[in-house]
Amino acid sequence: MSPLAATIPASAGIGLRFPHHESVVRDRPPVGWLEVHTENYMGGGAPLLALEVARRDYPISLHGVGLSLGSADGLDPTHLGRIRDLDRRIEAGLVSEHLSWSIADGVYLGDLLPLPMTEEALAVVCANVARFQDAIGRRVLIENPSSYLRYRHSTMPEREFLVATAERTGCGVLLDVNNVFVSARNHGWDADAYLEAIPVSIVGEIHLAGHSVRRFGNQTIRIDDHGSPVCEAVWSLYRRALRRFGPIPTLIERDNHIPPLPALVAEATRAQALLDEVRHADAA
Amino acid sequence: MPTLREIQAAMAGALLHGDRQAEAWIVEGPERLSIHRNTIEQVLISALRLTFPAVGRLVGDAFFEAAALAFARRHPPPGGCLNDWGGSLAGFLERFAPAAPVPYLADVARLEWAVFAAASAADIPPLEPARAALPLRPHPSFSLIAVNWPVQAIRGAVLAEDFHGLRVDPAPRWLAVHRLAGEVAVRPLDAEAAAFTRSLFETDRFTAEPSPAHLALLAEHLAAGCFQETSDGCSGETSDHSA
Repeated sequence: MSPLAATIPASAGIGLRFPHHESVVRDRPPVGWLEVHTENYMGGGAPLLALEVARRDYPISLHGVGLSLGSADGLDPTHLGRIRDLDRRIEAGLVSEHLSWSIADGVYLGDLLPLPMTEEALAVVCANVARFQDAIGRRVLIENPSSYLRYRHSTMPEREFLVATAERTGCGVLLDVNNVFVSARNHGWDADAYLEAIPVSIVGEIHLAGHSVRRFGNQTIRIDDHGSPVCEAVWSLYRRALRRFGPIPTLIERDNHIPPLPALVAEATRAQALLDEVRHADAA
Repeated sequence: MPTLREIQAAMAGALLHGDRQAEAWIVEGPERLSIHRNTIEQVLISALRLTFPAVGRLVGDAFFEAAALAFARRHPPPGGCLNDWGGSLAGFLERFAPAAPVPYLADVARLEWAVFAAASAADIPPLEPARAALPLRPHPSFSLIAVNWPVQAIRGAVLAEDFHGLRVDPAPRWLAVHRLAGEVAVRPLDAEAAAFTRSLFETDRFTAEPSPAHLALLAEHLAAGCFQETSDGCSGETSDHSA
């Protein structure tokens, strides 16, 4: 088991979004842990109070979307301070962010944008990840993105960039299996080769989500919109990921068309069964 | 080869304003940029819709989306926490020509921002009344806004979809907005009470003996948790969304 999984159990969790705050606290669904978007709890008031109530029953993972680790301009110290304060207040089990950028020239663009896979960008990401880890005083996980476009300037495959970031900064990897699948289909990569390129010891969490398929001129593009259940092809890639990485905390993520809580719990139960299977196989 | 900073600046220009420099750098062709452009637009519109629900309902989806995108291009979010973004929407709407037929729209936005900011402001204990000293420092959830329309009634009617008895007459009004024990309160003040309240943040002594009404108002503000501890003697500042 990965040493990163010490406080978030190697079980299935769900993303907690505002529509489910009340039912999670009331019904205490049988999931191992919860993950929230860090930025939704940066103020005070009712949202933070609700998170603290949920925290009594579940370990919480903080998953950021607004730090912009790939920004050439560096990181916003205020944003770092707010992540640190929230982490201390709710004693998060894991803290994670994305291999992407969202801020340029002091403007936040509201999306996880692709980086050129260059040595220069790698140096920027590594400096920012190191600063992030220093600021909050702990190791973080970095998530592989869903990718729809590549820059002509790129000189290395994304998986190499991701692994180099982990090796140079000591951070771990949040392996989003759906993103691996989506990017592989969009760019003609081999999804299994992507998994094989990631060292077993650095993966601290897995994400599973749904994506949509759209026609784009004469091409089919898969878009990571977190708006539908996990598809069968991604479940199948997840099984292969578990065989490689062993039981790893696994999150069911949904941000759009959020279904009733039982539907998310059912997906988490399915992930849990696969986690149990691989745990028993490991023990045998 | 462009630097990372140049790539990010060109991409931001392409995604927000349709600039074309970055297009040649995309292996798959410039059409793929529209995937990100679409996500950005949806994320920014949704964020403003959550903060300004009554403004959204007053003008309808199509108008709101167009106004939100025009605002986002003119005043894009400065940082990665979208809850901090939207304080300048009221000022933007005041000068947004297509909104002119709805003269109270900007003031409704002013109230919604004050309410949203109060609801999500940092959890800081209110000032102990015994420790009160001028100038007072507003609690992070507190703001005092000046409006020219009955925006509290308009907002209530729009959100409840009940316009029975609503009268929309222009006249100067002042509203004190703050959060206490998890609830956001909106209290109307008259011109004199608003001026006195503002003076509490600006002066270190009363120029005249406060009237009994002023002292009662001060006690009311203290009880309502409108102030926070003044740190190491620094003078208080009104929050940036105050009038």
